Amino acid sequence: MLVRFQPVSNIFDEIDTIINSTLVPFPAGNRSERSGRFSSLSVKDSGEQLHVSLELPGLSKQDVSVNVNNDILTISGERKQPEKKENEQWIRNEIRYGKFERTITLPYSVDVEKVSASHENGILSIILPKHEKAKPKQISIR
Amino acid sequence: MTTETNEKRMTHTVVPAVNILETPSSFIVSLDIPGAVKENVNAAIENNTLLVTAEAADITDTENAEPARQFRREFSLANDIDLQSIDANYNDGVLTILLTKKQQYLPKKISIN
Repeated sequence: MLVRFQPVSNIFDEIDTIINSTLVPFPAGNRSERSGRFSSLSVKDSGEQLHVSLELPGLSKQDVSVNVNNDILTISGERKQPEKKENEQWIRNEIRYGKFERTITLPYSVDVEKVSASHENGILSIILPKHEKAKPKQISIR
Repeated sequence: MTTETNEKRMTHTVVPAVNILETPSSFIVSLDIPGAVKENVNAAIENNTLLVTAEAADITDTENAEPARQFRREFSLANDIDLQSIDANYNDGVLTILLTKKQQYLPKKISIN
């Protein structure tokens, strides 16, 4: 008999939900570690400009730096671990702290002078307008 | 040739990463909820369960104001938490909830006469 293959990946999410729904400490090595390994990044090209968004919760503007050099965008920063006193203990620790760096090769040259970045509610948003020299030019035939 | 995409917008649910720090007098619960506005972040307690929900726009679709992502996570609370004194704060994409322990569960220093 042929039985349709059922992906089992969702079972882990189910288990996570059960494990995660309690404040009681759980042995290390649970799968929820995967959350926050990489911040979600999106790059949107409207043709005239690129819109890069990166999830950076828990960072303030001062913790993030954005650089454009030779058509490469570099976003770097550090999420600092909150201080823990001696009489305090972690019950759950899924949030990743420390330094990070993301580099993106831009599909075209951008006007570095006009690049703008904002950071709001944990989302870094960068607008990179296309450089004039990268725009297509219509050449009239004489 | 142009192809028209007429995909139905899908809201997907995200389980936010959480840190819980226990101090002698409280639990500090921090959840990563990037991209929401304060008004769309909710924390509620019912039947000893702390439920956190939030709505955020999808960062891949910044022009569409409709929330495309739903954050949701539940926590069972033990009896030692004072349900009357709960404080929540949303800042830089992180929701921080302060759960205070009940008076009778606080560490007490007993003075010796």
